Amino acid sequence: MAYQPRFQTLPPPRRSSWSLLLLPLLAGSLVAVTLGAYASLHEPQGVAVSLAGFSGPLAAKSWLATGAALLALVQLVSSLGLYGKLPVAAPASAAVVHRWSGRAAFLLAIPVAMHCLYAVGFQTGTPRALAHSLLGCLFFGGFVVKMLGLRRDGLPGWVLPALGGVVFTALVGLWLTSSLWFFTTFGVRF
Amino acid sequence: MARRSPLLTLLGGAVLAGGLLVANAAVTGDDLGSEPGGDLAEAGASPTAEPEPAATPSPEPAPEPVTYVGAVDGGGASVAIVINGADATGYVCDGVTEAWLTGAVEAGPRAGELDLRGERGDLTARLDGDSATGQVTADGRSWSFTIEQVAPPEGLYRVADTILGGAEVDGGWIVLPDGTQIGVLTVDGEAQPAPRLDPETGRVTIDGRPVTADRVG
Repeated sequence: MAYQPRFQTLPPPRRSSWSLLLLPLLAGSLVAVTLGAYASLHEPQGVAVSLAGFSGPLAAKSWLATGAALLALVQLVSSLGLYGKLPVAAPASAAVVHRWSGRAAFLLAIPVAMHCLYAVGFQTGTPRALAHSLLGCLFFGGFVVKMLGLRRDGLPGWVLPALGGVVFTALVGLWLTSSLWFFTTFGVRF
Repeated sequence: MARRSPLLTLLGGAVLAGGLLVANAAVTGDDLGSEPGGDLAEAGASPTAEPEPAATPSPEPAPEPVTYVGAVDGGGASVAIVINGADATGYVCDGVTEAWLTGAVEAGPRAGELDLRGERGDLTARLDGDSATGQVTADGRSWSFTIEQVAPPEGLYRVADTILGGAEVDGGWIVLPDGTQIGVLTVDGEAQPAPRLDPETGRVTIDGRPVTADRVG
């Protein structure tokens, strides 16, 4: 038997409206704006704590982001499974996989973002840097909306997939504008 | 429990971010604050370990790369070839235009031959012990060359980074055995002659900002 998402077994919602999303959207916007403002106003330090064992912080960030992007692909597949959109029935563990791969991707992205915020700041010099800066704010803001939205019963069914799609797209965009740029500029190296 | 887990996820992320922020403030305040304007290529520190001294260049893990540099026949441009295992990187520069070329070292019957390509040119060469002989084309101009194997600090250097202030820089330098340098620096898409690089440290000053170039190979 195919896995039944948890929310289908909950009692009928009191009201079904996207307005339930107002508070999560407010919180997410606050996070996105705060990140952008901090990145713009904080004097970039040029250096910040990074992971040892790589040839430099850019290499460390590129690989952390690559890990997060791979986990994002796991997110995509596991969520498709949860919604029964895969040709094969998803195993019962799909929900656990989805939850924990999402957590891991989020945690991998945080040191990368903190390095960007602290060492580099909000950059508008090139289309790549501008897109990366904006996507970074969108990703963390969108992630907050998604997490808070998960706790709201009665949201229209399309809301969570749409939020997940935004977060996934932002993360892939972040990877393309950073790790891919690094690997194609410097070569694939650790 | 499950109802709270998204909140716990966010909380965990916030704690990690806060810890990193505190660590950053501690590191830049105590150890690296005296060097404002350091470039991003400088090594940072692990969240738990002592920060590396900022002046220590990152060692390359590559297994014994071999570098050839020299002027093209007749002068007017310089060529560098770096062999790193089976991969090869070529660079040609006349101080105004440059071309980066990549490819593999041929094996089998064509062992020791290179066929490198890039957006702005190509390079073919044959490795012969301590020297490399071949042809290189960049922006439609062709040169023949015979260049010699060299050891650091001679060689090929590159920097590609977003420096403080937001400018995107991409520069290449060839440091020749007689100590002369030739290079091109592209800042936000505009090419200009490269400022002098300190071959010992890789340090170069771009728009008043110190940046560290990496030795290729």
